[in-house]
Amino acid sequence: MKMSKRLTAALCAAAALVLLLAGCGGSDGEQNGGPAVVKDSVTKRKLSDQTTFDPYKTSDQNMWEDLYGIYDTLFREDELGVFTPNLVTDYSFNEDGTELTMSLVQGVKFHNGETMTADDVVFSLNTAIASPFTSKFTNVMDHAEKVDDTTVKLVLKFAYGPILGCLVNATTSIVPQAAYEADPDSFAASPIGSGPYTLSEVVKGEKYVYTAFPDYFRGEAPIKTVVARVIPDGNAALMALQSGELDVIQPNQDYSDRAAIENDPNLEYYVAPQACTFLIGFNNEKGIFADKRMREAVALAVDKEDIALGATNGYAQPTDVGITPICPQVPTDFTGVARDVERAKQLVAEAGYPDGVDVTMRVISASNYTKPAEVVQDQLKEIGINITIEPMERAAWWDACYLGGDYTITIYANPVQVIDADFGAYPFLHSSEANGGNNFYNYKSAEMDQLLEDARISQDEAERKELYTKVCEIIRDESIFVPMYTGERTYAGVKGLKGVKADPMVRYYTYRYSWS
Amino acid sequence: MTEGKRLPQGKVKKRSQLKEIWLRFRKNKLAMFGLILFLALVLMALSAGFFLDYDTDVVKMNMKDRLLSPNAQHWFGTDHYGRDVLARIVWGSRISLVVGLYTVGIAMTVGGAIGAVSGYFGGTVDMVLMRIMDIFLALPGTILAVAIVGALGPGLFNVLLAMSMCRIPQFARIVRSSVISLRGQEFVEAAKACGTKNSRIIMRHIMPNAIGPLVVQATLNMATTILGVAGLSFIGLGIEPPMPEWGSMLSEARDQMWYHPYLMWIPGIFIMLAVLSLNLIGDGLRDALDPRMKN
Repeated sequence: MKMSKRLTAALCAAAALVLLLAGCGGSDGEQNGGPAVVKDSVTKRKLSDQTTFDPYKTSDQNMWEDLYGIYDTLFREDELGVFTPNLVTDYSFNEDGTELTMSLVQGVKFHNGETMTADDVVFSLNTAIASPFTSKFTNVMDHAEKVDDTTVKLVLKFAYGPILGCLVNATTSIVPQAAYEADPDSFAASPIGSGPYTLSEVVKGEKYVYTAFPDYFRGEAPIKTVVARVIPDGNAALMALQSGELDVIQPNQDYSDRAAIENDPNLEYYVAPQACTFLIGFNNEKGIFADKRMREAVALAVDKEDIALGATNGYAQPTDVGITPICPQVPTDFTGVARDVERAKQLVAEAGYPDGVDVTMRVISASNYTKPAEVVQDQLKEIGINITIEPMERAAWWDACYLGGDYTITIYANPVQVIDADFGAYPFLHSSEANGGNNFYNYKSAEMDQLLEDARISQDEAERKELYTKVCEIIRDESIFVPMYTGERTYAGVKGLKGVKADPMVRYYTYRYSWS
Repeated sequence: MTEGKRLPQGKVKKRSQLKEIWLRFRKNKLAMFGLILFLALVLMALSAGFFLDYDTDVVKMNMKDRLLSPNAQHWFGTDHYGRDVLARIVWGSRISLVVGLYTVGIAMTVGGAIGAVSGYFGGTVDMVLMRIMDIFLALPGTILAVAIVGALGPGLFNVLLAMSMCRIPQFARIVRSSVISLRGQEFVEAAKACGTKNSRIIMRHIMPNAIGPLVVQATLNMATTILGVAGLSFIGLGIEPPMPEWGSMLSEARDQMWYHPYLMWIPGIFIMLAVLSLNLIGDGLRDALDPRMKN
């Protein structure tokens, strides 16, 4: 009895194994022996579900990624990273740089077959300007107006150097006015743009399928189908890439998989500078770090080399400048605070904590924030600041700490979406952005405001560099926050796929992809 | 009959019963293996404090030595913060075992009390208490634990609380069924007839007879608790860093899996050994306590 049971089980297992092997063999045979079909689809990793396809209703960089396929922007970034006209044939600024006049490309078709008009462009820009989500890009814009059927004028509040960078971003995408106005909610779920891809299928939590738009004004895309599969876990994504399930992925942001990809003969690892600096942020207004001595103690106590090693496997570079170094106006030879643990201890004692103090550090619960937090925790223990790390869900952290100011110390990476020091400094340090805006340090100073305003409107690059150097000096001297390191934005794909590159702004134009 | 007056009689008999259980347990080779394994882990946990300093050996980062492969100085290598993995495993055993013991202790006491009261008194008391337990049982244990820790925040104490809460109903059920089968027996009626107080009947007459299944359940439960805590820590809801816990060590090592896979294996193996040893002991105890099942 017992014997026969075992025998049956063994037979079943063997049968299952044979079936499994046969299944594998079958698909292999098909791939090897079948006729050579040119691949015209790309499967890529998507970090999370798309919350909206409405370009004006999200400020999340991850949401923009797919919007670059659906919509067109007035300008785009070419292969060399230069901003070139896209929906525009010609453009010019007026004398004081406050008006941008653009002639539009004629005959651009939207996915619903309508032709793009100057009215659509004016509507799109004005809708973007009115939206609170796009303020980083549109707060310098006053309004857009139609000059004639082929010309549009964008009026700025003041002359602004990085304006083209704002018009490259997905938040200033062009939509068909009639379709958008008819029902904005259904538009957000089934978007209509003039971009190279149309959204053809959505399976929430699983995949998003995009199909090439045959009437695209720059010609139909070489890749006919783009499948974006939702894979939140980085290691799972890499395994899918190695097995051929995926063609391109966003690799782990702590570079833990970098060596594995670089050593894989079938894969390519793409690198670009990162457009943010990881930093230790303080609430400058309330709590224990409102005391400048405490902030300075932290600045003196941390060893940035070690933090970069522990948090990024040594792939990021320590930095002392308070504005992300990718911006051209940032000083290149800037001396930070020299490490001095004894002095730091002394400062903590002077601030009233000779026996040490317990602090809670609220951070976003993702490893690129919790890892540096753990190293900082370890380093500050030495000077008597005992940190308890409180990991929070991203949205909760955003509401409580970033907007609500309910924190004393945290870890953040301040991103720039347009490579200009104004983007790296003004939103984070101007007093008008404090208490609910991007200035989550709640740092307020008239001197700083003046510097930022002067630097923003100045047309003289040398002068701007000087002003931003001063800004960085104040950040250092006041220890508003402690910049730690900046790394690289990375991307990975299979070798045969051409046109892929890493982009600091996560602007991945799938239109450029092709199989060799 | 002649020795009816001699009080030590009960004592002698009790010892011999324990001895009998032990003899039966000892015959079970697998259970003995489990016991030795478990005792080794306990010894490791107890001795941790003697040769390791928590602040300098266990949590202090040392980036110069990060990701060293196992060598003479670091038997299990070092992790991505340059901390000795052996030291963290040894210290981690304390946390796993302590959480396991406390959780089971709390769950057994509270659950046992609820079950005993419920089973002994029956009626409305039983009805109300058991329906509350049913509500707890209706929710999957892990989800309940995640919900509790999610609401209270991570940390050693909250994990303890969450894990104990999830396990109370199981103990309550087991004790209740034993008590129900015992309460009608003659010795209980005799005690009642003597006017013994209810609390004394439960504590002195019923519970000692219901302890067998409880001990088995406790042992097996400790194994699932250790696994549960490791699971919570793995998803970042358990023990807070930098405290070493096997589950969180496993989770941290995930990022290094491409080039330093042993960083995952080591905590994984220790979790497995702890759970395995307790399961073997539990099985052995069940057989030893209830000789009828053996044959």
